Amino acid sequence: MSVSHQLGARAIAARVQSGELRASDVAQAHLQRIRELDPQLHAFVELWPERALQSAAAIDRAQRSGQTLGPLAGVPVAIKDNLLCQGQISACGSKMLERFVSPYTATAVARLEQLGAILLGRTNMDEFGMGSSTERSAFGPTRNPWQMSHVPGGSSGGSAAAVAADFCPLALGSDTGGSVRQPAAMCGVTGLKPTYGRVSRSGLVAYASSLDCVGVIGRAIEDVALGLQIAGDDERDSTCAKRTVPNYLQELDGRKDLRGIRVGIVREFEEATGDEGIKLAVRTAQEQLRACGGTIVEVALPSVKHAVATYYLLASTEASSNLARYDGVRYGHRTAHTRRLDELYEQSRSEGFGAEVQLRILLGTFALQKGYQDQIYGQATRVRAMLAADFAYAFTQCDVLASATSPMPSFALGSKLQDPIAMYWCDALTVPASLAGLPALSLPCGFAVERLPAGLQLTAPKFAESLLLQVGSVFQQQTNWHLQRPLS
Amino acid sequence: MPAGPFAPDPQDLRRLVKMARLCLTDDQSAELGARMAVILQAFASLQAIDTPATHIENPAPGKPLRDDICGPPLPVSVALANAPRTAADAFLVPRIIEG
Repeated sequence: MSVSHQLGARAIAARVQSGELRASDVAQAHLQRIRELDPQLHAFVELWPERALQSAAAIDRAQRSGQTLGPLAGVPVAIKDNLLCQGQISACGSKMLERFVSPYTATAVARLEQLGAILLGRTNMDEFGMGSSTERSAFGPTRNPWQMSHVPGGSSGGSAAAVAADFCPLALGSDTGGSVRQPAAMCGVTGLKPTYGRVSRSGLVAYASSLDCVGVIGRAIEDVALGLQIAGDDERDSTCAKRTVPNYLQELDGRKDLRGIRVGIVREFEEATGDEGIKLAVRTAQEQLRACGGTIVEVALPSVKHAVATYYLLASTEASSNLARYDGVRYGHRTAHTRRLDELYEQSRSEGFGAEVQLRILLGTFALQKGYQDQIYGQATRVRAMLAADFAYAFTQCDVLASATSPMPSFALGSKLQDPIAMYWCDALTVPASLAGLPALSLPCGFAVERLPAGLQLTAPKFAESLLLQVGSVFQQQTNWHLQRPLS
Repeated sequence: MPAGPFAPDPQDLRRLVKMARLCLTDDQSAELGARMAVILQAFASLQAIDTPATHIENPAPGKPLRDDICGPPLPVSVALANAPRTAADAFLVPRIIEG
């Protein structure tokens, strides 16, 4: 049976549930498309065709025997390379873990499978999530499906590119400082970073534990809503919130306009958005939110100008601690050239980690050394609290914030690799919500220039994912940016 | 972050590299040191912010750690499955006591 690769997750699940489509045909069609087109893009690091087809066959058997199927029945999904999947390699884009076989499955991935999703394989990423372009992968860069000479954003660039190229309607990524939202914006797809603690981090390889979130990337908001059903408490993650998980898709279907919603425009975010094309696309999108019934209010986040420095110092300190576990003894790369234990640690780590990871480990070690802890780490922690207070005050004046996701569109491969500050500045508009633990959504809202998408970021108070998705849904009912495709 | 004293000199850098359990060539050290200096300089403005009375929020308020109850341990074979070198039921490392 012929399967359109343009079908969304909701449509695929409905057709598999009714028997109109076979999950095996859906999986086969998507695998075939990936084999044809991914050699140019490199969105996937590894495909799991056997596993995918076995899972799809099980879904088909369940359908034939009249069992109730999950809301993601037969939906092909891609998994970022830092989410564990038992029996499969999870390499985090690093030579350090290139042969690491996951001993268990991440809760987010297990829940996807329980909902009926078919795992197609693992997607490329910046090493350990440290990058904004997916060029920092030990396995080579991913290209942007809209412009092959450009980056897809990062660090979940493989997942965003896979959705944009119609390799799968849904993908999981992780977002520490914007790693779901920024590549979603640069690839013209929809990406959600949930509230910190909304989705379990168990089985997500740690980068910066107070910031890491599992996020969902899809073409349309309804697919992202379906994917977010992986949320909920988990005894394997003590930071996971004990809160009821709503039926996000059902809550989405009720709202048709934005009457009663106050949309905050952040002065400081506008000032930080340097690209004129992005500015224009975002202003037009904000006007569309007003046209849908939303009330526009101007709000201030005075501390946001310190967010990039705060984020990179805190994330690097946490990374230097989290990545201390890679010592070449229990798992990961081990050097072949040593006879002493201390040399084994040092050489294994230097051979296994790429330059950006080593830089951030050094930055973190620097910030945590005796005498500087309070001055650097302590101060960054206090500024983080100020930023969270700014957001809390802003949300007394509005219900959601609307800004650009990235201050710039995608850029040419290699053009920012030698300038760390220019690369870090890509995250200027996404790190504030990360530092405050808030949910944020990126929606396609046009193009900065031809074939370089722009993203609209919506940010809401903690655990207000339903509100974010509703506002996003109303926006996508009025626009067709999310339906535009880079490849036929 | 004062620019001067915070920019690591070559001796500081060697100490940091050792603390971070890394092993860099002179060229790598020079390159990473230069990048660190640029980053620390760019982030120096953070030190000028007045933050005396800022309340630090608990990232997971009201969430206690789970009860400390013994559960089934990871089977030894699983724990060792990714180890670069093993012997019997143990991780194998270079000898640390001479003789």
